[in-house]
Amino acid sequence: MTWNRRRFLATSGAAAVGSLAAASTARPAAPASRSAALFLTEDDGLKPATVDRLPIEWHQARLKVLQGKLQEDGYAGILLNDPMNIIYFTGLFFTSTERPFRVYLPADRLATIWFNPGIDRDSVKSWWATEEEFYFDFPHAEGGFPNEGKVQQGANVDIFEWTLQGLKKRGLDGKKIATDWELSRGQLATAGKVFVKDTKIDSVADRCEKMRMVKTPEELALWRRAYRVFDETHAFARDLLLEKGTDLTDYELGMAATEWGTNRLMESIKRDGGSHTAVGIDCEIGVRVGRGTAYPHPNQFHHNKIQKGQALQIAGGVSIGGCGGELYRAFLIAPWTDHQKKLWTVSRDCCLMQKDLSRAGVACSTVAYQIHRHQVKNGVQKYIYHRPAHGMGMEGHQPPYLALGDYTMLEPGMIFSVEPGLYDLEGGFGVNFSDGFCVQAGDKPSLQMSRLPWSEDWCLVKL
Amino acid sequence: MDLDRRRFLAASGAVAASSLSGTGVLGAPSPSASRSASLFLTEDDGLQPATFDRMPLEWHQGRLKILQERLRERSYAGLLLRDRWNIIYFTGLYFTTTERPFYVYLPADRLAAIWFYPSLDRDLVSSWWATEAESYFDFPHADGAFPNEGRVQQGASVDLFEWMAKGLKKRGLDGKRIATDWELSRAEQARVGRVFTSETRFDSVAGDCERMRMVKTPEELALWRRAYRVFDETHAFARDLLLEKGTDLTDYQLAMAATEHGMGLLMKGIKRDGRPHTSVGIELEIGCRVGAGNAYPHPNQFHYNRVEKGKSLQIDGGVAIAGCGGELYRQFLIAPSTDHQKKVWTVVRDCCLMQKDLSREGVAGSTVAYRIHQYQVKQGVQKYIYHRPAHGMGMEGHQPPYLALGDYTMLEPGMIFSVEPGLFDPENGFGVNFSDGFVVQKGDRPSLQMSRLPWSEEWCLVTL
Repeated sequence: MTWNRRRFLATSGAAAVGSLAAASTARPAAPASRSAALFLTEDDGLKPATVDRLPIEWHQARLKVLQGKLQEDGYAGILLNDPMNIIYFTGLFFTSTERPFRVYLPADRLATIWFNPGIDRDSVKSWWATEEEFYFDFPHAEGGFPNEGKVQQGANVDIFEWTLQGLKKRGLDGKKIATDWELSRGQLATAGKVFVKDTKIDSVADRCEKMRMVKTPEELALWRRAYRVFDETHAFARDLLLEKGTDLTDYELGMAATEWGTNRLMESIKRDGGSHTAVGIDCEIGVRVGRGTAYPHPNQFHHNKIQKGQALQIAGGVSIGGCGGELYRAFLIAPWTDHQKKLWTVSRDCCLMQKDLSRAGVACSTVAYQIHRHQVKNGVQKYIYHRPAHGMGMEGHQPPYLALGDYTMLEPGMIFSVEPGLYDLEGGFGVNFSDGFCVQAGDKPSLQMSRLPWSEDWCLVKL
Repeated sequence: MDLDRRRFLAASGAVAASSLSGTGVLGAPSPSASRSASLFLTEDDGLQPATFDRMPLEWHQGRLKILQERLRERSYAGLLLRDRWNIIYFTGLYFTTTERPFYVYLPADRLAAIWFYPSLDRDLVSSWWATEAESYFDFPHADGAFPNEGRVQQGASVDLFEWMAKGLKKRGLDGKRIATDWELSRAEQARVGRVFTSETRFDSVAGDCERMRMVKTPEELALWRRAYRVFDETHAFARDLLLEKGTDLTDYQLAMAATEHGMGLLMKGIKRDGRPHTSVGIELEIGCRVGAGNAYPHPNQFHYNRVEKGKSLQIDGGVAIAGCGGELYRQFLIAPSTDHQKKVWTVVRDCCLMQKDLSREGVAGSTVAYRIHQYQVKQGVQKYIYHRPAHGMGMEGHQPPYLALGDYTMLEPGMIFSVEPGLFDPENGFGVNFSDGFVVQKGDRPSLQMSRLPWSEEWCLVTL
């Protein structure tokens, strides 16, 4: 341990100084990376954002669109419970736990009325809070607020009931209230107890989700910015693979690339350590080599030495201000078999098919159908384990899905993963790519978020 | 960029080579060579670390048998699980949760697992414990479409709850009483009414399942201890690194270095061949935050700041082997510290020790919280209080019960709690929060501490 640790200390210090020295200086021009030299160069017109997060005005504008629909349907306002909706419509990034955290947004004016745990009182107040009520913590004891010097073991408070009481005293008794979840039987009974007049509470979860499914130009620009950094991170990972491949474990390669990419990403994020800046940041590379690639969702931890003749996947996700998604490339390390090469080629070709097929006006199911047909026609049916893709959003997987049973029509601004993967358990390998394909307006193929090629040159490597 | 990358490459290669050379050697190196590890608590509490890497199937079935007995007493034909933690606990199958519905039905009268799951996981399910299994292709599933069998078609979208309910019906459960681990929604109830012809009751026994998971068995405790043993050393490594290179590093770099080091140690002892069902539920992650990020219990800003003198710094994180393990944090003050910082640090540390002493079998969680909050207020730090002292810990992270004023659950031997009577001062840009794993013990004794890390000024108040 000592020996390892000392070596690490010696080297880590050097790396640290190097990267800290680079912080706050402008980004170097063209990356001197052998992999980055292979980036796709087509200009699709989508410029990376210069902002680090969407401003509050963007979130309020999304809310205004929702308010318009709520008013049409006669709702007084909406009570949000889903963290993804809360972030989307208010801009407040927060940590979700078992502690109930809700916001009520009136339909007729821009206002937020929070019902949150005391743990987040500063975050809520320092963002956008027209009104705020907080309970101390979960489970909350009636009257127990140690932060105000009131320490007592009161009766356990039903936080949902407390929230409804808060709505009632704001004049919502007898009104129509929208929510973003279907109330349970217990919650319905509570509502019946709290409200005296007939108060309707209906879920409009689909409407909220549908808005989040279609990305605005501002979101797309931030997605692009996140992918720009991640392209370079993947280039770094590939360079490292080529230079040190069989000296490394998959885990080490993943960690090295994650650290490098996060450094790169954080170079340009303005922040002072306080809340509400540097939010929704994520940059994580995962690598798996050999048998672990043979399972779409392996339950074994990936910590294996990189070896010749194996499949290797460089995977991961990136986001800035919650905008961003996944990016994987599937590698074969020479010497590969004809069979490995064939599965790789079919999977790669299906990715390119998906890009071309995913157009505005087409049903998801139809894209899936064509891709699965191609797979079966190529005789690889036994290696098929799943649909080609899922929609992507801040929560990761998001509807719609490029799946045979999903008849949602593709709309410009929807973004999909790219995963027509194939898995050969007996052969101990698998092939799965991913990227972000964004449906475009007009009869055009999808826009590719990354600049990574799909080529043999990138993916079939000799160590 | 090029320079950084090359420097990293050179360094990373060296580290990689050295850590790989250690792979396969069983047992962690002696901690004595670490200046921090020499400060470990040495009391022998009698809890030996496990030598196995996961619970065997028999352990999971043993837990199921206890539940089966309770179900039979209440005339349930069996149990339908959909909660990931319950499925892992009662069957031992580790799997990835997504939007794809994943159920298992466990009859009450015999050991059998009947799966209803996405075909994505067909190899995992069939190579573990599957008496019977039905799979759909993927979500959303189209009727009759199984590309993996060459059947590519765009059928009607299948309601997978209804499909599963039909699977239960054809296995003779029409008219029976079925336990579930969630409360069926109104829509699900309506589908039950459509599928079953005789009156078939679905009642949630989620509370019973959760309650079993809350109280850890001796086998689980041994695996927890094993995970914490590695994590103790990881924290010692992180502290050594802080002392040696502190202000040259960002909090992020410190965390990444410690995570990689710790994972190297942990994986040395895990037997595996790359196949599923071995090296499951593995986690080891160190987080680190310095300065203003400490002033918020749940900051929304990313931690990536240079380590500086005069700041508070938290080394935190979680560890698990086969899902057994929990959190471990220590709160540092980097000299020079103000009297105010020192006072807040001392109150929090003392509350941690109080929690250890107070968390005893037979006491309500609320009472422990009451005493700790009383102490905080008496010390004049009330405005820095943001939350309850602790949450229960389990495979899912936070788990009931809570050491909170409103939680009257009585503590039982085998329950494990975090240790977080933290205090936060956003005006002055610092905060103090520790954590560990405190296990309630049998008899009138203080809780057992999972880690060997001290709570001392010597460990936490450092000069760089």
